[in-house]
Amino acid sequence: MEKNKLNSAPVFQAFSYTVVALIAILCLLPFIVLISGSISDEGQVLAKGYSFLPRGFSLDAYAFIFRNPGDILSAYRVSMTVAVVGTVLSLLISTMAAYVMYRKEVKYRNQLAFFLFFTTLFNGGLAPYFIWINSYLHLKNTLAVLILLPMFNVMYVLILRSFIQGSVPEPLVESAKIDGAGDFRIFWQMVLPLCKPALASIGLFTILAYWNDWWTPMMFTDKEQYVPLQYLLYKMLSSMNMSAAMAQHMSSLDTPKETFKLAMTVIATGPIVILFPFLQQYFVKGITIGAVKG
Amino acid sequence: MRKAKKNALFILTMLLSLTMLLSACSGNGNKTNNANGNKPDTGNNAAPTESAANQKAVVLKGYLLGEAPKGMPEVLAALNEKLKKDINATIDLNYIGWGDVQSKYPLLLATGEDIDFIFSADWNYYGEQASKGAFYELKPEDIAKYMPKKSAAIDPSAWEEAKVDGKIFMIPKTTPDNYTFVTVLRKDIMAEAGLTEVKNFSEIGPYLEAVKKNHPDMIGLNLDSQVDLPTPYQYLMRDKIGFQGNLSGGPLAQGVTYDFDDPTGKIYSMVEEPYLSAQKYAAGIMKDWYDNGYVNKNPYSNKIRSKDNFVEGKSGVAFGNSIDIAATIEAAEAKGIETYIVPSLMPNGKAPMGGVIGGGISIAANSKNPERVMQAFDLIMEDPSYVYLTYFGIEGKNYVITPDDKIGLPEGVTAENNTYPPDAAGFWFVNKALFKPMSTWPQVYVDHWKKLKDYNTSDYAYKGFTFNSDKVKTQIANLANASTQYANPIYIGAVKNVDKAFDELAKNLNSAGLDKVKAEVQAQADAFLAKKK
Amino acid sequence: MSSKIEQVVVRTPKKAKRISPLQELRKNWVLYAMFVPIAVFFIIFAYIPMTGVIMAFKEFNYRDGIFMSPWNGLENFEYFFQSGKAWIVTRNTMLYNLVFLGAYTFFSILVAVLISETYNRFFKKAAQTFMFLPYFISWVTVSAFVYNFLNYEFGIVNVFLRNIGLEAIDIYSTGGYWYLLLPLLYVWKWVGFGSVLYLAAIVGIDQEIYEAATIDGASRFQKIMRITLPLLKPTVVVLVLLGLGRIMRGEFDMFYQLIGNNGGLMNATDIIDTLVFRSLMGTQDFGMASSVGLYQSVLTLIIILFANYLVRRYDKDNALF
Repeated sequence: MEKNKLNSAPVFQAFSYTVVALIAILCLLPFIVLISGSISDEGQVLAKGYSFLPRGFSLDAYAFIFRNPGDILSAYRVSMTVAVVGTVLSLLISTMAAYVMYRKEVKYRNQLAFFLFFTTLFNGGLAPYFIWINSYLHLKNTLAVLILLPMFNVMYVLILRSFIQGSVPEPLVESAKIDGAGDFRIFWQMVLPLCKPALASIGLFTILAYWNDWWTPMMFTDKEQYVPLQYLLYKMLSSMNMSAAMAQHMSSLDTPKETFKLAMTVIATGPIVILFPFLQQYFVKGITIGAVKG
Repeated sequence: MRKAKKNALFILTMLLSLTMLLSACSGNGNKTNNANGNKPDTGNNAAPTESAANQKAVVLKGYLLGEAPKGMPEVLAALNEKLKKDINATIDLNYIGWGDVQSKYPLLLATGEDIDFIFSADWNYYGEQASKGAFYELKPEDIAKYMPKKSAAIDPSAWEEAKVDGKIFMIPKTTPDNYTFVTVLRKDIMAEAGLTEVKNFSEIGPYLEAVKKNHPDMIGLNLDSQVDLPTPYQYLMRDKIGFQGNLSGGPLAQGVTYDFDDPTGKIYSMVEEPYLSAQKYAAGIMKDWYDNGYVNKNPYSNKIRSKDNFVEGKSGVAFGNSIDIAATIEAAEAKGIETYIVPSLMPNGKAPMGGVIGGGISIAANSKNPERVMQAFDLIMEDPSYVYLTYFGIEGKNYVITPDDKIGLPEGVTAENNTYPPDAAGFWFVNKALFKPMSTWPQVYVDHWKKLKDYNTSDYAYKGFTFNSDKVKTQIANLANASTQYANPIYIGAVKNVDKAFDELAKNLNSAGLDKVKAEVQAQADAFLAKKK
Repeated sequence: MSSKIEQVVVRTPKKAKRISPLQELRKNWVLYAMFVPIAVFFIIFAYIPMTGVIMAFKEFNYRDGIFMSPWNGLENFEYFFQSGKAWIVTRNTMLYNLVFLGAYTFFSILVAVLISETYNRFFKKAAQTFMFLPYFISWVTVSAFVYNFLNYEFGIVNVFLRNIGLEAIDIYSTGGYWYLLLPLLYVWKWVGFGSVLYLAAIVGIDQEIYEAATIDGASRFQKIMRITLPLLKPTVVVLVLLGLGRIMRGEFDMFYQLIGNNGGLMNATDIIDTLVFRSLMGTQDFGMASSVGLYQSVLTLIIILFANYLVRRYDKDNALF
């Protein structure tokens, strides 16, 4: 890693490509094992373990997941609704809050930040939370509970603030103010467009957080119409594990337990494979502030 | 949304009560209450009559464990139709998924509202929850009044067993859990090892050697992290002493217990004699086996049960109990593996059985309709039509009675596509004495099942004793913690020196407060025995 | 609300040097109003239930509920501090998290910078998507894979080692391997996440700066060292501070799934969360469960306030608060 060697563009490029490719492959390989495991024969996986090539092709695990297609469809619908509505609201409100804490005129911006941050440090434990949500807010068994509870991540709000600091220079805001723009208009017309890469990344994380959230539905719903995909899969898995221990009837051993776990992961990755290339455009081009100025 | 829900519920209740009123007038309402002799016309004004009380239709909301089977809505509809007719109540049934029990169960009770009944079991901390006031107390007179069928069917000692601090908080199952722990071996490997009969688990050394020599893809004891880990060790201990579990903490923990074979019920800590030498005996054999490579090196990270690996030819031995091993044996036989079952018995050739608090129903402390819950479960647990409905589903759709009077599947229905598989809906507490045998059990299993009664002893000192750990909860927590760290390696045999390992274990258990726990167990046990006499 | 504020404000002297809170509110009321939604949310969903923290000092029973149950002083904390392991697990938790944070930050920046230096769009897309895949693989599955590859008897690695005549390694009985393996797995799982954040910060940098540097004849490497990295500093500081905010919260799932109840490894791999889980498995006690959480919170608060104070002192703009 000598400096002058790296200084020449082609060598540096090659270096970049190699390192990135290496790490990407390290991340990909286990996933290939996972996919091939998910289409393997359950017995063979138990007997011989995982490998890069499927052992004894079988779609039993997927067939098992989709044996009640109605449930899966309904779960997809819940997941999508929750993720989309939640992410839009979350992004808007989070960025707004981040923008407020970014503005130097706001004298109490640090206190506001601490107000938010404090909630990541302290909580009253699960029991009071559960009782509060169920018995006082009466949010149990509503779509709202699935949208509201995972809505904000204080880290993301503070990251957004730091992004705004990095990509919206203060003089820009000053001059807009002099031009007579209101605080909200500055946010809407200037800050939001300048923060697209940040919004894309935080938005992605938020969608994923919603998508992967099985905890909220587990805690706060008992009705089938509020079961999102991840929770449905989670329920399938846990009942598969336990019913084998309790049951005296014969069907329990035929369920594809090990391969099911893998197939579950494959299915859950759906959104990223679709979303990521789409969001990618925001991570490619740099921003030229001048372009947004006018 | 919430308002709408409440309104809907209100309207539903109104409608139901209206229907109920009408049906009560037409004389249907008191059908089940005849046993109590409380007819509406007895004119007893001291207490409202049964049917008068039942004139108000109620919805009983409750939780069972596990997962509703696909066919649940249909079964529930049938169940509610029957319940409505009989006691003017319907059930709103919910499930706590297996993965969520630990976290969700106590929380549901803590909210204190919107819940009438819940599944309870000793293994699910029945004693702990009851002593913290989670459940409604069932008074003997209420039991007699509202649960006539149950009272008739159940052994009165069961109610004693269900007592916590002298009060009853659970409607226990009528039919005790009768099972032993078992080991399953393969007949082909037994032949290789020159064994024709195995009476005792400790005799399987040659078998394990044969596995190692002739089956390189198989591990003799392929233990998993959750269930199997202490199992062979405990089986070995049972050679020397009547050990079935400890009185103070989880299944993996070292703690305080007694010799189940000793009628006086002397209390011991597990690191004092005679337990210490029994433990060292077991630890010595496990260490030999581990050092010889008969045991998998990393059971802590293995999540696949030996009984599953057994079927796939990855474990030489399968561990389980009389109940859950049925599926394993069936699957193994289907693969052409001939099996041999060895029960794990105490030195006297018996196994303590007959617990009834391994599953039952408790009523939430704040339930507004405890009487109706009792009435409902009197029917569900004891009335054959309810029992078959909740356990096996709808006749003709989920099960049929075969010509030889066994329970089988209707034509076209298989174990896989049955929408309401037996046992799967969480009604494990129904009176199983009312069942007919299953038509699918393999012979070797049926033989084992028949022999169970020879092993059965329900004669042990602390039958029905529930330890209340409130006063020593700090010590219990520390014992659990120290056991995991210092006893787990002993269980699997992964220690360099058995004596030293026990010194270390004893040292840590003692500093965790073993003496204090023992004293507390002793005090409660003495009180229990005194009352029993 | 604002009219009420105005009435009051009128009465306060206007030329005070320090602006009173009300004046501040009046002046920037639009901005404060924009903060209201999130503030309301956190009051309802965080601050109100937070009062339940008193459970750590109570002997909970269902009859009396959270607020009426009798007090029991510090009894709920005893099991943790009397376990003899309190110091070990606190130290382990902190050290593991520090190593994780360091490794994660380093690799995330490295990947982000290098990706920003590659130009093939397909390559970028593929690489970044791949790096996100581990995020989806739960620790249970990771643990199954690790077991599969590294278990002593049939693990692929050990079979290979034996075949070439080497000694098999037994990672499940040797604490040392985990000091390396755990951070590696952590980075592997989260590098996709972290690199996206840093990449977003990199592409947020004004292109004009780079253009100017190109005109001045700066090489690519120089641009990274002189422009990209310095401009990333605020993001790094914030992300590291936020990371410190979780320093006492162990990655429970990871440790529990990978190591479980492996007594032999415990002194090397036990963290606060696994100790608590293990201890309370058989005692469902709300008070005991929340006591250690409070201990973690207080420690974290002290650490984060100190770290934030340091940042404020040297780099006021980048402090969290």
